[in-house]
Amino acid sequence: MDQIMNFFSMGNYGAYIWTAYILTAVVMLSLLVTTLQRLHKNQAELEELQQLMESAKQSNNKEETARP
Amino acid sequence: MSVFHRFANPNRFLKLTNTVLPWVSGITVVSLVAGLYMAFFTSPPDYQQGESVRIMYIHVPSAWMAMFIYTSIAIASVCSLIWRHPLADLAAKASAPIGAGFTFLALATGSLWGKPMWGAWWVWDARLTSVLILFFLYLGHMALMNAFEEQERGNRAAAILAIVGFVNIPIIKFSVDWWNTLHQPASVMRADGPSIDPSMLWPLLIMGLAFKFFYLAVLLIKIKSELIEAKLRKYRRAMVDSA
Repeated sequence: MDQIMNFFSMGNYGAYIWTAYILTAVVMLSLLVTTLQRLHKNQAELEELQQLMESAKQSNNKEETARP
Repeated sequence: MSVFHRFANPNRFLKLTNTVLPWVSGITVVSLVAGLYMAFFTSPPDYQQGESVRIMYIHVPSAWMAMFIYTSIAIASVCSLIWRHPLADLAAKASAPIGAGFTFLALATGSLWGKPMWGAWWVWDARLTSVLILFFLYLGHMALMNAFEEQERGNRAAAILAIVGFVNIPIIKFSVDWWNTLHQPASVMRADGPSIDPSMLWPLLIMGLAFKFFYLAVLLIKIKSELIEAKLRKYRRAMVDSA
């Protein structure tokens, strides 16, 4: 238990050291997460649009064949 | 020139990205875990600074990345202005927020290290001030990129800012030699080799590697995302035209 307390107190510099590490983790993780969110949003939109174009093409073809 | 233009093709670039990305992510995670383990458990406290030296293992790699990413943006800007390489603007645009993030971290972790060691959160010495200017250059670059109706004009303006602002990079590097600074002089990238003990140098270098690969991973994902956005714009235009 003492060993764990010692580790976290970091020779009384704990407050500075852990704040620095947590801040770094927060900045790097938010860079990664926002980037991934944007990628997934774009990928979903692309898929949706491609399906839309596909179905538009098919209905166009049907109309043309339906005409005498 | 052929290699340079080979990956100008977006589809070829996407294919390359998809093969490389798992490796880049893997190296990032492994080196990050190893670097953190060494930073906290195998490296000794400093004889002068005690345990507070452990802030170095994130502060110094952040500062390296701040300068490395700015240099990459300046090179991409030259490629964009001279050769009109289609991926250069995307790379510059994707890099700027990552660089700004690392510059912020270099300043903030430095402040958290400065308070216990120097007794001050901030001093206006040449090193700290020139890095603060770097942070504003990043913000200016990001603002200019999105300041114009036409993306092309924003790209050009941001590229010119990046190239002109590059003068700040050698100023940051040599500020600790040219002026009397409270910030300590270089101890890794020195003409006569590193002056820092291997027990601290190794975790520092491994953390540096981890940060570099983190940048590469996020950069590749961002460029991939931008290429998909370009495709979306193209499709939407085609739909509007055909309607």
